[in-house]
Amino acid sequence: MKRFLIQGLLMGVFVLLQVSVLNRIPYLNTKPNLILIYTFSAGLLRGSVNGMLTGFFGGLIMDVILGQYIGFSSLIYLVLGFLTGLTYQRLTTDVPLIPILTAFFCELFYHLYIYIFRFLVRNRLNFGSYFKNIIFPELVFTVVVSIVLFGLLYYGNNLLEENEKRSALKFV
Amino acid sequence: MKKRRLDFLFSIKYILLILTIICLVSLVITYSKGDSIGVYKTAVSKAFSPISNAITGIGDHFSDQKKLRTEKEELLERIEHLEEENRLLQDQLRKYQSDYYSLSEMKELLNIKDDFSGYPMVGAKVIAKENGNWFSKFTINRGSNDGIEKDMNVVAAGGLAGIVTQVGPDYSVVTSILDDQMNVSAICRSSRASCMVMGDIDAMSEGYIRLMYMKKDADIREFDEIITAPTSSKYLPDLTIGYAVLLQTDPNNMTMSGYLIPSVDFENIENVMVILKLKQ
Repeated sequence: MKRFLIQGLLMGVFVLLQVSVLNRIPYLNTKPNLILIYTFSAGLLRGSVNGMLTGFFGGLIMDVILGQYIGFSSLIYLVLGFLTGLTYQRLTTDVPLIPILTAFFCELFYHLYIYIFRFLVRNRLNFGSYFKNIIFPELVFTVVVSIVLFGLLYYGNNLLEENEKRSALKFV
Repeated sequence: MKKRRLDFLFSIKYILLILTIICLVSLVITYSKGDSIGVYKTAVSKAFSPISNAITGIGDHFSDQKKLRTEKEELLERIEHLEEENRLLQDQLRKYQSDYYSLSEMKELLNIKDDFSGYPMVGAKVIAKENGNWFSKFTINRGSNDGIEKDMNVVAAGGLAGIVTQVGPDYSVVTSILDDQMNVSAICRSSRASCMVMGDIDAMSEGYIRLMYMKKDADIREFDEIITAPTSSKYLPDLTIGYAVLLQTDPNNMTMSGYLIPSVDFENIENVMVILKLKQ
């Protein structure tokens, strides 16, 4: 219950950061994708179900706020949450390489999805320039931010887990 | 032990399946409707708009206070003020120019009134911008409660900024003219030669918009003002879009194309006006 509330609150904070606070920072041409970072963090730290739900709701909120088709980004975040969740408890998460690699592949996957379903279908073929101008800057930025953000989420998760264990012991 | 693990996997797969189906169904519904579903929209906008509004408000408050404190900021403010005045004067000048150009026509077509300052308008603040750089959209803090409808034109200081593509009760989403999916039919203010303004991601990153389908011998020169055409189906006539640059003849030797410097500063767009009149 406590975790549920905290995760909902965090999602709200990330959505607001994403759509309104990050825009107010001057000289920032590209934005890191916080929802994506949060989704794969949930997947890595809490497993597929948590990752899927986080991605689904995060994507849904983003879609309603700004997207044209509801469910479009929801679907990709859902899949990313599921896929990263498959590594849950099979991969050690306290190495910085893990969030870096995950962020890299998730971003790549996410952008390819947008490119294929929103641009390629309208016969926009110059992928090279899209990659140079849009995908690459956001990819780098997201990877950098993900190191910090994943670290924070990792420690937050550890604290919560200890807390949960302690309260479970009390009842036993 | 093995069985339990399989059960666990099955339950994950069911959740995945159900959520995917929800996504696909809402995708299909919104795609076929061309607009998103009201229930979702009102629910989220009720929760989201006030907070986002508040954040914009807090941001404004802090930036205002900071400006008052330091002298440098005060000077900057003065510059801003003068720029604003300059812009207003430029607008006025542009208006006079347009009056001058249209005077001869006016004599013939006395009943056509094409002054956009005469339209009813509502001011709005930009409260959210598109996630990522693929699209160029922003959300404003006015919606159907303020009389906004889909396809209404949005202007900012300088000229046309975009068009309303989604309306909620107290917010609406504006797709800017930079967006890859946008096409605006336009004309040159001085020569009335027609052309097409098309959003393009490549050009967008350089701050330009594509200008296409002009006749090879059309009388459009560099830095000519491009305005919306009276023939456009969604855009009101005579709104400034930008200034033509880098014109060159296409390889087919029949048409000319180039780029447009938008007259609106999309990087720092904060306040916009929505024209409460739909093109008939």
